[in-house]
This record gives sequence, structure tokens and C-alpha cells, in this order.
Amino acid sequence: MRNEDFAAIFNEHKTAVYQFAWRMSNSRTTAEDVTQDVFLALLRGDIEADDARGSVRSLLLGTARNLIWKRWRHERRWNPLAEDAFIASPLPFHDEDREEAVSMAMGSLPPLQREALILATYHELSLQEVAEALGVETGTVKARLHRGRENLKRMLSPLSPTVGRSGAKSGTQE
Amino acid sequence: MTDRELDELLSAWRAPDIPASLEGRISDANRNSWVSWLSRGSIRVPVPVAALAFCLIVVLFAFTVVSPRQVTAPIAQSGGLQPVKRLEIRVIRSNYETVQ
Repeated sequence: MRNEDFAAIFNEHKTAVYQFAWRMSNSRTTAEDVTQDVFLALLRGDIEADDARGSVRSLLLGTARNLIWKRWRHERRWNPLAEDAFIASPLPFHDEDREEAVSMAMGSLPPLQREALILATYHELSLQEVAEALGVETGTVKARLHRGRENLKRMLSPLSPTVGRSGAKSGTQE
Repeated sequence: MTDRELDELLSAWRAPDIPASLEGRISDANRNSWVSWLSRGSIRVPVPVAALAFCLIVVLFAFTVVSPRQVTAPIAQSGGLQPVKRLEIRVIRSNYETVQ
């Protein structure tokens, strides 16, 4: 890969890869290591950015996702079969601000639902691109997104009156 | 909670920007990549180009290694005869030349 091509891809996607790794792991150190590994893999030719095979962003984010899962296999275990049975309960928030509350709720989600939600919500990937990044069918992505959003609504339900007030305020101001 | 309320909440979760030090490390790796390419890199060659290069190599090999030898005739040496090294022509004038 030519230096100019790598520099262009790096400049366009570096923030997305880093922020995805941070949101998945909630760790700056892990996010830095994963981001470096993704782009070094691209530099070495271990992964190839080819528009014919799919979007470059979904390739890079998919690679970041695989690297994070590799770490998790050593650090903790999550039974993928248990994800379907996971039903969240409202979280006991104590004066956390909304950003912290969402971070806690996301961290409590099963990893398969979390990664689908992060890719769809914060990286504006289409359903097809999310499926490419995760290596699953679009139907599986839809199901995970639906379950993930339902679990988040349950966990964040204590904040619902606050959200309603802010929404009403902005409505009256307009 | 409605979908709109959830989307509004989710938009509040902001992620940090990539650190400048990490950017520098990866950019340096890109600049030094030609060194590692020399030891681990590979080049993609289209099949027609590879075939043409192979034919050229075969032709060059044929011309340089299997070239015809120049045959020199053996010099006959018998009775002390030596090949002429320098030819000198002696002109002998006749005594019967008339001067007009």
C-alpha cells in the first residue's frame, strides 16, 4: 500500500476506530492499543482496503472489533447463548449525569448487543455495513439492535422524566 | 421511554479524540514502512507481465550461453615454415626500358 493511500485512509478513519474501541472497552489504553494494531495491520497488508469488498470503514471497525474480542477471551468470558436471555433492569443512578448514565448502561449491555448499537448509533453505518463489520446477517443485526435498545430503555428508564422535561423545554422555545 | 428519548440520551455519550501521541506513532510507522517492506514485502505481478519477463530471460540466456563458437583454421607448420608477418613488395625494373 502506498504511503499516500495509507495516510488518506488513516486521516479519514482514525477517530472512528479509536472512538469505537473506547466505547467498546471503556479504556483509553485498550483503545490506543487496538487502534494502533488495526492500522499497523493495514500497513503490513494483513488486511486490505478494497472498495469492491465493502466499505473501508466497516473493514477497519470489524478488525477493531475482532481485536477487542481477542482481548476479552483472555480477560473475561461471556456466553453468547446467554445474550438472548438477558433482560436488563433499571440501573440505580445516584446523581450521575446523563453521559455517565449512558456509559454505565452501555457497559452493562451484553457485548454482542453493545457492538451493534455502537456501530449503528455512533458511526452511522448502514445495516448492511454493520453486518459486514460483525460478520453476521442483517437479520441478526436487526435482532441485536432491537434487544439492545429495549434493554437500554429499561436501564435508563429512571432518567426518563428528565429527558421528557428537556424535550418539552426545547419544544416551547421553538 | 420512547425511541426519540433514547436517541437523545445516547447522543449525550461523547468519546474522546484520538491522542496526538498515537497519531504520531502510527504516522512514523508509515514513514518507516519501506524498510520493513524490503524484508517482508511482496509485489503483485500480472500474469502477462510475468510471462513476458520469463520469455525475455529465456531469450537472453539463449544468446549469452548458447552462442556459436568461432572456428579457426589450424595453422599448418611443417619444415620450418612460418606465417608471413609483414609483406614487403619489391619492384624490379627492367634494363630494357626506353626513355622517350
